[in-house]
Amino acid sequence: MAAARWAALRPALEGFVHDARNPLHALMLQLECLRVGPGVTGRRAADMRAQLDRLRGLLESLGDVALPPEAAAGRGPGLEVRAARAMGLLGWALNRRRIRCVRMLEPQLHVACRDREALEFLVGQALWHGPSAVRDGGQLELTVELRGGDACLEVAAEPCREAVGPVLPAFEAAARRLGGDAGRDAGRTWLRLPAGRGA
Amino acid sequence: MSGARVLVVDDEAAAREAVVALLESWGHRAEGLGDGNAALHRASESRPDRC
Repeated sequence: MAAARWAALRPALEGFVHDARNPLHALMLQLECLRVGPGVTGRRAADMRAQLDRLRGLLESLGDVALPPEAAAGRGPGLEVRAARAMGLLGWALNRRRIRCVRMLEPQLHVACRDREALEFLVGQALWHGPSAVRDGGQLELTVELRGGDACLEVAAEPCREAVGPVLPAFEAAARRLGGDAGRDAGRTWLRLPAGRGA
Repeated sequence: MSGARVLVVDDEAAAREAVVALLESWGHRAEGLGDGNAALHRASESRPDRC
């Protein structure tokens, strides 16, 4: 799973590297304004704070996705938060290809799993297939909801490309190991895991 | 060059506003827009010295 996991992180890293440039660039310009301007105005201070918050959010998302703690006190965020963070790292790739993302996320939906690394791997695999499956200008529908006793994550590409790659065996195997299942059918990728107290 | 009319186009609002502020501090008249199509329309209307 480790090799597949690191390979799957590439799109998230590409997105982070690009998205981090915008707030850094804005901060550099705002600092230059301070150098030549009369002083820090409330508006400029708020703008700079907003850019720092953007960077912090990006770093937190990347950290959660790439380096999830193996064990931590308390339970982590719900499946909907994990999915939104991982999808957020793909924002640049989606914008560049004019792909719209529609999110239908049920709040506070936790998975009965304490293996955070496996969970982040599964969420990443389920989500990051989406951009490769959808055509430019299309739409990705991200759904996180409770079905029966299961926490379900589904990504549907519309319209989807004709040639869609096969699902990774490690993706299916990791889901089975956690008591759920995962798969891919043309432009739809799904992950289903027992709902519970959370990792 | 001072007092030039400059059109700044960037979809990042914070960066755009900072560039406008810098240009104005250097004595230019700057206008910022975040949309490429709107910028093309504006440029054809106002004929800025620089974009």
